[in-house]
Amino acid sequence: MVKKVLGAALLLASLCAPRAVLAQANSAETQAHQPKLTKLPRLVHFEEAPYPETEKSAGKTASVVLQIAIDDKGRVADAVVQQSAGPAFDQAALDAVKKFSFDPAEIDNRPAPVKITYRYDFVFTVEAPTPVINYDGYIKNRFSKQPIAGVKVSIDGLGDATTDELGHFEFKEVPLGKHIITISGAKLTTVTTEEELEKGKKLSVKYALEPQEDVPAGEESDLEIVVVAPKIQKEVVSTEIKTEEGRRVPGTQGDTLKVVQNLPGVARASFGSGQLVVWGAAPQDTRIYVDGIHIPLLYHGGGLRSVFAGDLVRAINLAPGGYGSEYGRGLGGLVTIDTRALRTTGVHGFVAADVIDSAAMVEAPVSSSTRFAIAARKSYLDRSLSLVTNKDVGDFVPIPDYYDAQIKLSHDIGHNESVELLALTSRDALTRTLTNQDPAQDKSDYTLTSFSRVGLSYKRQLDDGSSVLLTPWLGVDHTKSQESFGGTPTQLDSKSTVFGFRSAWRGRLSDHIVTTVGLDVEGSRSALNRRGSITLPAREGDYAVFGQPPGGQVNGDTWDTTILSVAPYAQTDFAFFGDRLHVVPGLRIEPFVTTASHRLPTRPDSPGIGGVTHETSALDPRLSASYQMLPRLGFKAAFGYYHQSPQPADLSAVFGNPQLDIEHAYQLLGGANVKLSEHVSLEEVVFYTKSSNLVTRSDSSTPLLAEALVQSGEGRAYGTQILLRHELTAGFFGWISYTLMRSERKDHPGLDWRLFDFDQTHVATVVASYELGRGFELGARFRYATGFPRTPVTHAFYSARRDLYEPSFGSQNSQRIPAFVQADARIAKRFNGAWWKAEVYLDVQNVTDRDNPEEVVYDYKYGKRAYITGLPTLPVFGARFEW
Amino acid sequence: MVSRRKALSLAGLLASAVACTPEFTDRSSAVTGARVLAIGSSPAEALPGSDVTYKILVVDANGLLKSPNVSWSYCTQPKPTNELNDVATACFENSALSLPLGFGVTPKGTLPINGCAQFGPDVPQPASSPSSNSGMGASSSGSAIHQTQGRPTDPDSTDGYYQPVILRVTAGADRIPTLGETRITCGLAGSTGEQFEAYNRATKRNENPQLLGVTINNMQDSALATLDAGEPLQVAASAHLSLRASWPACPTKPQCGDGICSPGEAVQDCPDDCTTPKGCGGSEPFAYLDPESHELVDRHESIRVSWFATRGSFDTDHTGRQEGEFTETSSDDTWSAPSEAGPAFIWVVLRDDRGGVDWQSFRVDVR
Repeated sequence: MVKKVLGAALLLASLCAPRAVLAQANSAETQAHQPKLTKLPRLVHFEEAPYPETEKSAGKTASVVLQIAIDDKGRVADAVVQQSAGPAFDQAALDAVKKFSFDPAEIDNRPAPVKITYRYDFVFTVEAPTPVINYDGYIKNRFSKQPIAGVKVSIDGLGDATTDELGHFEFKEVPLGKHIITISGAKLTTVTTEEELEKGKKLSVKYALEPQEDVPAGEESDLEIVVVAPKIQKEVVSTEIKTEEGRRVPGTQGDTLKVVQNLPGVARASFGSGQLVVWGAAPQDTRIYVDGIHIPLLYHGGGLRSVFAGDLVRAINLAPGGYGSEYGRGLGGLVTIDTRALRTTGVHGFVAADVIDSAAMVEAPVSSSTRFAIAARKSYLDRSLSLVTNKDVGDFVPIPDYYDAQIKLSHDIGHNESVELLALTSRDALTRTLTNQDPAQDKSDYTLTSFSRVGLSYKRQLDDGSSVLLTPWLGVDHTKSQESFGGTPTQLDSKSTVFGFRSAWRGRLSDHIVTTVGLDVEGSRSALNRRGSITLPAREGDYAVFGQPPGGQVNGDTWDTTILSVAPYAQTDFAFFGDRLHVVPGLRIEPFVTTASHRLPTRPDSPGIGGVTHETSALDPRLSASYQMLPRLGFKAAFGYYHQSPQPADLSAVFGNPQLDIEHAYQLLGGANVKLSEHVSLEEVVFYTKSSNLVTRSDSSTPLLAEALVQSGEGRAYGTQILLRHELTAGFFGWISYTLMRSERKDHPGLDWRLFDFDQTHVATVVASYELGRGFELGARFRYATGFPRTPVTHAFYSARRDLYEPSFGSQNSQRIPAFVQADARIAKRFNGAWWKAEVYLDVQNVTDRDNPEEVVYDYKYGKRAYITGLPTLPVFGARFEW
Repeated sequence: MVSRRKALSLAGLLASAVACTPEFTDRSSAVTGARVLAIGSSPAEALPGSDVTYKILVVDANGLLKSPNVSWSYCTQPKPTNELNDVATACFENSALSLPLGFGVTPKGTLPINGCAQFGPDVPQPASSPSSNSGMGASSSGSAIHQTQGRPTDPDSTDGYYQPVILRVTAGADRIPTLGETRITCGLAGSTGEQFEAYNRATKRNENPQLLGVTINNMQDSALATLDAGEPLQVAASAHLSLRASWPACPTKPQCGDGICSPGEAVQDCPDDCTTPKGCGGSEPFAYLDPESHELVDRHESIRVSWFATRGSFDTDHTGRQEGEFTETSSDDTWSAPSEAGPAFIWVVLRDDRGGVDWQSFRVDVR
């Protein structure tokens, strides 16, 4: 590279030249009029002469001496070469000096024209090439958007860079082509990504990292990288809430996972149920996974708490529909909970308590490569209530008694290779005994729900960026429900051994193709016994009212079931148009095997009829596409088939049907998302789901033996959901979600469509939280939800034998409970110490003390109706200390 | 009238489990209009095809209605499994699904012959083609069920099956749809032959309980006078009467000659007691086949007392004795007389949990 370096030399030349001129002028003035030069001309504009192209090959230094005539205005009137350096140099010098301008000289203190001698020097230098930055970027906190310093970025052995205080890193003169970028550090989870540098282009990137949590000053954070290679294709429609946000949502009492109830597409749960109704699907149709391990429920009894410690959660993701082929066995939504990486230094933990329960967690490294965490929670609500009321509250409602515990053990086997053990357990017990002088009113309830899981997760990130994940898991489920209503006993006891295995390989097949292949195995072996009324508990679609005494007829059955499905799956992400268009076809092939121990009701005096085995193969094609049309505007669509095995409790020859087959559904959705600003996004999705082969009660007055349940039901749901979200930044986050939906069922062919029991036309939630400063934090939540449909009682008849009235119903689900409207608030104060943090909070539900109808109840003869209303203003005070 | 109880407005409680339950002020013990309070049959339990005599207790705020307009019919349609009530609602709506029985307050009827198929453990038949299956004992053979495709009706918690009786009661302008049920003697679902024999030895057909009377504990155990018995009791306004409904005790062991055909006694062994079977009138013993364990269990009836009054109020609408209290022969309640003078009518209905019923009517004059 050739560069002219004339500036300094010419400046010196200009300083020297006036002195020569001055000597000549003084001589002339003395001979004639003896004028006196009172001021020298001063160069005020210098014009740089280009080094002549014709002389570059010689590369020599040259000087041209010129005489410059300057008028009394300081302009160059003329210039002539006095000492040539060659035509090219002479001309370049002449052209340049004619563009000079001067502060004019003065003679006798008056501006006057003068001539000066000027030497123009040309110096030829060859500059060593300056390194050019052709790959740089910023690493920032994904939520706070704050830069993160100290992150090490490496390019496949070419070199490293460490982010500065601005989170900036840069590389110079990176060879063109593809490179494996490794983001690592002594306390980072090492991940890789692939970047390609092209000729003449500078690659600037932004990587968002997820700090696990706030760590006391002076301690480095363990970070988890969101951007990995190959990118993990998220579900087309999903809402991910981070732990930090979830904990601050009012009404959750600091429980991160409860925030799912506030996401779009989720109906508001009926009071005390904690059920997840997603896009109009039945609660049991939505699958829940923790690190790939299926768990049967997300919330403890009554929906008070989640069954998993929020402090071990990195993120919870709700995909209401249209998810990929990695998951199946559910007709509804998908909830995936990802646990976070454990910290590598120091002993950390927390203790927290409020009037409902207490929780604690300890986390520590065992060695440089092994870490563990253990967490537990236990309720004491029954004892809390006894302190503030002189009534036995349990006479009115069952008081939940629960606990849960989790253990996580992480071990780094080697570079980018690790194994994790996750064990968790949860138990809920609800007990109520209500004695009465009336034998028919003597009631008792006992419900036990417990499950345990233990799973291993082996992860390896290969050098080429691909990854391998293996997750075997095992567990037990136990549910027991005993209810006695007068002389009608009801009991259902179910014990299951459940197991699963998930494996997946994800890698890049070419520049624009990333594929995932895997195997998803899940099975259960259940032993059940049930006695009581076939009508209790009521099923979705039953003609029933809340609190209605069960029918007097009872029966009993004991049976075993085995349900197994093995699902190989594959999905491939094709990227087009510079990564703006992604098309992800997937396929899941899932043979289901269902066995029930007996085909017909057992009798002691007859030989066993034998069991029944049902084998069905499901083919679930899935397709999703997303198109980022503009940097801030994208579109998405998805379609998929889904299948679901029958519930073990429905495979009874007495109470159900042992020959039930799998249920089917397909889901279709489309939507758009707009990035309104760096932190604000808007997403809208339109969806339609259709399900068939649903299990319903037989409507025959003379049903076939062992066919009390049949598969003649159909379902459909359609609507739209909107999410306007401000991500956590500068202490503020919030969202507005709105779902407009209609969910319907048809129990038997020929019947009209009716509203689903959990249908809610409008569900709107507004959540906002803001850090006021000085550790204060204020949050608010507003919810509106259409009331659930209910079947009106048109009249009643008197049952003389049982001395009670029984209802006669009108059109099914033709009325609704009035809408639910509630505002909640939360205020918290944080205290930060050198090695600890503490928080106290007040979570106030229903701040306006609105009477929200929750359920319809009738008087004893169904002549009058009223509503059970929700909670009055309810302040919940809690505290948390962590280190 | 609905009042709202704000349950437990305390810090920190059940975010969603404790709610506010409305309280209805209307009570079942208060007779404020025309109502059916009880339906009885004699015998209390019978084979399908047997003759049965019925009676009904219809009252209103002015006392006993002696001649209400009552239409009786037998429902022939089994209840669909997706209906939670005790009878197919269609039987109230479609007269084609019922067999006329009679009219009046004491009609006689013949139980449909196919009762055990339609409402019992035998093979159910479509309502339009009644079976000739009498039911008794036939279904105790397990293989019979396995060879058929129909789902039998489940028994109640006393192994009982019931023939629904549809009543259309008209009292003045009031129409009172009512379900009566007659216990029918059928087989024992899910039993072996040996179990069925043991069951028959240990169980007698249900007999109606017997309400011996109602005494007043806080008035030297004087008795309430029935409507037919003479002068009504005079009580002060706002007085509190501790009432006791009594029924006979049942022998703990069968004893031939006690006038009661107890389980274990048969007409061959004890013709005096069992030629015309007579129950003990109290908490009768019976055998029960546990549907889950398939074992016979010895049990006793629970007794339920329903209290009704046209004026004043009872502490509790219903009282009674649990199964485990079968040796107890009474149940108490307190009636508070109205503050204004005038007659008050009281009815006490005694029920066992196998479908038997008895009642008495009383009048009290409040001074």
